[in-house]
Amino acid sequence: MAVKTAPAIRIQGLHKAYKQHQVLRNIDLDLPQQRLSVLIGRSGAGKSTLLRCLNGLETPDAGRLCVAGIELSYPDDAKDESKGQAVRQRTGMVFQQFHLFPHLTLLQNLELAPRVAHARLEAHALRRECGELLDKVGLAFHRDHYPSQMSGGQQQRAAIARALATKPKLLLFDEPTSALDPQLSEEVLKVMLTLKREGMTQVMVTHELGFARRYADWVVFLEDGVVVEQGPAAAVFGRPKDARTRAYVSSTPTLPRQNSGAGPSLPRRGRGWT
Amino acid sequence: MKIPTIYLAPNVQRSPPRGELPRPARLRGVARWAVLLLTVASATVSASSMPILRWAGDSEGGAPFIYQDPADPSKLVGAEVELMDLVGAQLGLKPVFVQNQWEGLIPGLDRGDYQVAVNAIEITPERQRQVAFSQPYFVTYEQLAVRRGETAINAVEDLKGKKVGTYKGALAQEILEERGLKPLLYEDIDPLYRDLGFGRLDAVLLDQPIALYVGKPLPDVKFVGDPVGQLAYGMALRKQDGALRARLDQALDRLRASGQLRKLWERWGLWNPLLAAQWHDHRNTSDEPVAWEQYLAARGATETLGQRLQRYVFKFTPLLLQGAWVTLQLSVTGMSLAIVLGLALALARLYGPWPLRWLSVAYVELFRGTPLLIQLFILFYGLPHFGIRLTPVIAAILGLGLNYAAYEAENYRAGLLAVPKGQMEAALALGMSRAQSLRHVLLPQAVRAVLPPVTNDFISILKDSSLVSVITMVELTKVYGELAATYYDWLGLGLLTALLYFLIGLPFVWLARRLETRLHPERQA
Repeated sequence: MAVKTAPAIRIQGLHKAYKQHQVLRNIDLDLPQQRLSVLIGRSGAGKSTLLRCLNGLETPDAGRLCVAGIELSYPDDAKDESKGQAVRQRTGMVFQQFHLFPHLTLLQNLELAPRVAHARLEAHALRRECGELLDKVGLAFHRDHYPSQMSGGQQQRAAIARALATKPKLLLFDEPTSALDPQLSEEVLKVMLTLKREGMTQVMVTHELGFARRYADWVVFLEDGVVVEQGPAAAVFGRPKDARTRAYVSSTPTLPRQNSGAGPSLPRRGRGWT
Repeated sequence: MKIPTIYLAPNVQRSPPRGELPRPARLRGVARWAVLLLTVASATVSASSMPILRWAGDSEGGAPFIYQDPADPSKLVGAEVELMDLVGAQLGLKPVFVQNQWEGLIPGLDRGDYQVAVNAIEITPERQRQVAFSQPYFVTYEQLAVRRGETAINAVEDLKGKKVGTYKGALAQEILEERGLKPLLYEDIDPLYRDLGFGRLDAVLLDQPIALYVGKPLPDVKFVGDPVGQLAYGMALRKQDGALRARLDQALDRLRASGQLRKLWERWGLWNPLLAAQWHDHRNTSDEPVAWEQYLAARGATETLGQRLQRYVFKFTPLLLQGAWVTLQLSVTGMSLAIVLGLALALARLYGPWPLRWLSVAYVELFRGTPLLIQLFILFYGLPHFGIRLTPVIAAILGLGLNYAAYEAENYRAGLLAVPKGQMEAALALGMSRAQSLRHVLLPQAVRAVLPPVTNDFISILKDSSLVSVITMVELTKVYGELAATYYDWLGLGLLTALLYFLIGLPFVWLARRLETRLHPERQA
């Protein structure tokens, strides 16, 4: 699957260090519109940091970013809270630990940001839309429940619905299934596939290599803060050019990673999702 | 148990600045509380057109000087109350009583809420450096008391090797120490004579009027020996009020010449040879000690259980309820201030720029690390030196609120820090600003976490509010002290007062529980 349109995200010369430790080194990367991109690599490779730089949760030390049409240039914009917020208003993010608001019902979780940060004041229309989003992720009957009453998979699906409620131009996923067992992961990945079909731009950091191999449009492999290799899933997984990529891609399945079971299991029932 | 801490006339004014309360704002005036809030404490109370002489004392001191009439505790009686009526009549002034804690009587003069302090204040060189005194209106001595049946002690000279008690700071302490004795020093009067009865003390040396009114009525106490030492009570006033001082002296001259002053002390059974010598008045005593006898009768009166209950229900309860009302209002307003200010402090500390952060830390450490009592003194007696003269009510609310704000700030800070970091990130990632995230995501979670400790603090402020009696507020504990000093009923009144505190707190505990359930809806499911 090739990149047809202008990139949804353009990263140029991005650097990020924590004290002496260089986490990201000179990252140049374009991620496609309306596609599912996946960042893979070992723990500590810088995947999550890169993802969090995209919506300003982390501030890069240097480099240029263009996310959802907003240009950021570091270090000049490092102090500019409003630019980061502008990016976040146009993007959604899903976290490993869900981070639903425990004091609010699911429906209230969805309504809060549109009402507060996006000035959506027509309560009825908003409620209807949020209800539809919950329906879409299979939680219509749980709209008045609190997060603590739900399973991890349900919470993560609710978190995706919450991110969608602000009508983002793209979604960022930070290891969305790492805290879930295979069955619950499947629920979540299913929702992502629905979004993929609808043409939502998605960027996911994951260790779900099975899922990535099967469904990702664009795969980026990072190691030690550097983009080692990128390309369509078939290329990166099937004919990795770099020895490091080859080592990672081939070694991982032999490591008994629980979650990766979700990948192979998907195609069986997954025909209709793609 | 405290009684006349007071008559004791401590030789040195040791305490830091203290307070006073306009008499009108007292028991009767509790009802005017709301008005007080708006006007400047008590400035306007008398409806009469006669010019006013404001004089201050502490009715908690008890008989014989200023105390509540046992027949009607909302009325004040006592030798000094009568004295001021006489002086007022001489000067064409209407005397208006201002209640203040005894230790605050002299510092309170500077605030200008009253012109004279009259409450068994001994004229000493130390005090004369601070304030001016009228000529003495009463002269008395120290009286030695022993257990009935004691025969070995008949004078101060016999006290060697004996256990002698006296009030801390009284002239008696000085006299005993001059003789190489080491008296046991008490903070309250009542226990002194009681311990004499129990055998913990062999003798008590105290100002004669107190000895007479507190010690003498007890069945196992007897007086022995000659008068010891000499002390004179004067009316204290600001040094710059020379004209008033001259007028008071004239009035006292005339009252003495006319025999009215002598009559007064005779009525109270307090006329003594020292007064006769000092005033060259050697007529034979003519007047019966009517007031003293009345006091004895009231104190010794045996009453039926029905009468007692009646007094509890019809006399004590209404007065205590008025005090409780003041306590409740001060606590609620003080706590409201603390909750709002505490939140601001916590936010400043956690999210503010460094100068604010630093200020917040300093505030918390300062207000948490110093006693509320001292803070109240400074607010009430210290600030007037800088031209800021707070009314008692405002000073009380500010004192409680500013102090508790430090604790509430820490509660909030703990609550905010307990919210997982991911909550803020999730809120930001949704496009909310930092302030919006705080307001809609962090704070609601923090508030429900801090509800139990904040409820705790509310119960605590209810009880701490009793400290504001040092700045002349008459709240529940002060009412209790005054009534107990009048009726010598510490236990029954104490239980009733404790019950009232408990009952005031209950609705708030209940409310907090409801709020907690409400804020944690998921726990109900």
